[in-house]
Amino acid sequence: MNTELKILLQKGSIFMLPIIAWACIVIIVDPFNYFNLSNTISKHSKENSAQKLNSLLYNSINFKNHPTNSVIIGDSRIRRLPTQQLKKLTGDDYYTLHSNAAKLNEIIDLFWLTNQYSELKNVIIGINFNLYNEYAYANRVTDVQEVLRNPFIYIFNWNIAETIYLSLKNEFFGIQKNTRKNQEKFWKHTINTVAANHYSKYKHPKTTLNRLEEVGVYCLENNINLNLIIVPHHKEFHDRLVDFNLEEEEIQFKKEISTIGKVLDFDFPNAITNCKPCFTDPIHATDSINTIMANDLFSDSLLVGRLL
Amino acid sequence: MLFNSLQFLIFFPIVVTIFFLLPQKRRWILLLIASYYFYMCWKVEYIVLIIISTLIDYYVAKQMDSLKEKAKKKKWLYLSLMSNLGILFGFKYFNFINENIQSFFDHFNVFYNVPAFEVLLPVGISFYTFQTLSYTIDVYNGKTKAQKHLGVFAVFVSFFPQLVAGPIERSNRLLPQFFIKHNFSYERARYGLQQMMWGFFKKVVIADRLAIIVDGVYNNLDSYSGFPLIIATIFFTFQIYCDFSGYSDIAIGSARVMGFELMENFKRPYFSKSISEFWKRWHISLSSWFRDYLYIPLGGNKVVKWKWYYNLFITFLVSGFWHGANWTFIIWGALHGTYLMSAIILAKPKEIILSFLKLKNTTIHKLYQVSITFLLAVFAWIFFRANNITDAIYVITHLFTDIEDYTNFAVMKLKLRGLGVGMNDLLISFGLIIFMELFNLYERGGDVWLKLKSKPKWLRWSVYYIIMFGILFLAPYSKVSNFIYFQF
Repeated sequence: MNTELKILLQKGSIFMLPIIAWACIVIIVDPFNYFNLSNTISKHSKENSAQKLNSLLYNSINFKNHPTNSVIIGDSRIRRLPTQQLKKLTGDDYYTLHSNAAKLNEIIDLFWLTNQYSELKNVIIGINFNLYNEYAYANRVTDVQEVLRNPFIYIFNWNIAETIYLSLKNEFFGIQKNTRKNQEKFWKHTINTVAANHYSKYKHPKTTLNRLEEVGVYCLENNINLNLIIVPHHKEFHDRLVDFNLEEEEIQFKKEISTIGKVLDFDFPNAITNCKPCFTDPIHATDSINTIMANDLFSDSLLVGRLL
Repeated sequence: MLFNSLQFLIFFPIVVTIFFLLPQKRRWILLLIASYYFYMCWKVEYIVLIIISTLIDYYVAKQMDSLKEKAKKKKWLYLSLMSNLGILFGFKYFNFINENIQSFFDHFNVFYNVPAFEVLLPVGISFYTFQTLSYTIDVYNGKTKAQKHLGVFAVFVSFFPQLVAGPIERSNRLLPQFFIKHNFSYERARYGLQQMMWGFFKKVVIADRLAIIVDGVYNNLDSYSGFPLIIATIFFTFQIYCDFSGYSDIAIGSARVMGFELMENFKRPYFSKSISEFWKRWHISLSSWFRDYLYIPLGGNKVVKWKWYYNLFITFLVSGFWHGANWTFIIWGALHGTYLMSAIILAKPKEIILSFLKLKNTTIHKLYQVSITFLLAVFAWIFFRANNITDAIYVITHLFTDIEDYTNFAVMKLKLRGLGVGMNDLLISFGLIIFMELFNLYERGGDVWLKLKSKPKWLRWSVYYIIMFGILFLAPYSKVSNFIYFQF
């Protein structure tokens, strides 16, 4: 072999060593259980870090590894819907595939993603008016699909590197609990800033509605039990709709989605929406409220919710 | 085949290895097969267009070479021009012109119905067409001899590193290199790989990251006003630079690994002190092409003043149209033509003011010049990026509206989330732009890689690893995009 070529190959191989070493670290730590080959790091450390930094990816991989026939899909608001309670009520094992700040188009993408890996029987989709907006759009599920398809993207990924660091930190120094420093401040921030961000610009989501209707038709044709749930918001948050003149749009939203599947609405003036202790913040209900919602979902006599 | 694909990472080492294993006189066969394969990975049928261009120009050049009378040569030149530009027109401009004629007749309620030509635009058609055109024009002008070896000529037309997005090479520079025996050189290969690595960094790390925000905003304009429009427009300015200069670096680097030298295409354009300087530093192979084959033949600046303005304006208008069949590109070209004309008109008053203020050639003056040139370029890029004229006008009229929304950090954070990026992403993007421009500044005193050669090993390897790990970790691989200039 040409001597100069030999030098290039030798130096090239040395140059590649740290890159290969990194690939090995990812396979060993594997915070998202992508390869599912190593248990060196505890499940708890992995889950804590991965859920914190990329809940969408963690939940999607987890679902791919352990598919179920029953799923709950939505944003952080349906995360606390108690799967144990649902099992008690229906006998089915539910998997919660949530993503923080998920948009409606992403929730639909997630439905099709779960459909790839499982023969679905029961689907609960969390949907609220603030998601029902053409401007509320993000496209993270395609990223997840790319990662699922291509291990290279998983190994060489800044987000995964951060999660590996956090997993190792959790493993060796213990998990640090994050406490919200100022509950009242966050409450106000949600009422003022978050609500304004959701409602200041509105456009009817025609394309997303069509896609949601496709989901409805697909479920009907394939005997999938589809439940849509509108989770409660605290009155203060809900009333922000008035400030942005969106009351009629909300009525239209409820009317339109009622044709897609069974819709259980909790976001209307009721005992929960006027009760501050029922919420951890204006848009996230407490565990006990989530249990009530779970009961209402599969009960003939509704305690709080109403069927649309 | 994309440079930024796994396919290319396998293809390139195989081609290079076989290239150096083959005897010199057989290498053109490998390069031709590799180049055609490279192109056919995108769309097999369109290789026919390259073959037609190759055969016509090969034959035309040979005919012109055998003739002495200019008039007879001219007929052959026209054949080459008509066939090459005809193909280009058919695939790239027909639908645009047809649509505009349709709109014109619709306006006067006149019936006009010529169906659209439903085809995909062949990748790189403007590049290889201009490369072969320059060859036939040079042969016509007696600047170069007709190439006798059809195979080598075919490689010249289709040489894979620069086939789809340049640099647009001249025959007298590139053709002779196919006849030289290139032995494998470690130094040269290293230099080529370094340049490729930097090109990949600019493309997959910087351009593709910026593209997420730019596309997010420019493809959903009615959702945005104010700050996101400013950010997206500035980001596009750097996205297009990193995308295209990144491509050029990969092209030049990969050719260099095999021993071929391609022309430099970018020279820190955003440090230009005038628009005329900008065009000596931006897409150099194209701007020099227009200078040599359009501007100078029109008379250049050796004519009366109004004709000079006309020549400048026409050259830039055509340059805009070369980029794409859309009014946005035409306006972009016209804007640059106008900038240049204005610079000539304002040169004297500017000189008087500067002498009066005693600012000429001071640092403040230079900074002012660089900033103004940059802002003019940014403004013109709005038209280049916008999907249509209405969008471009929307961007211009909404650039500074709703700015007050962004004085609140929390609101700004939420709006960014709507773009699919966090504050960190934005900061990383700005950091990368600064890093790239610092790298460019360092390059001012000579090629960075050649300068780095004299530095200690630990420093060299640190730089390599920073770039390599940047490529591996900071690139948004799930959102890999095509090179922008592929569409031209």
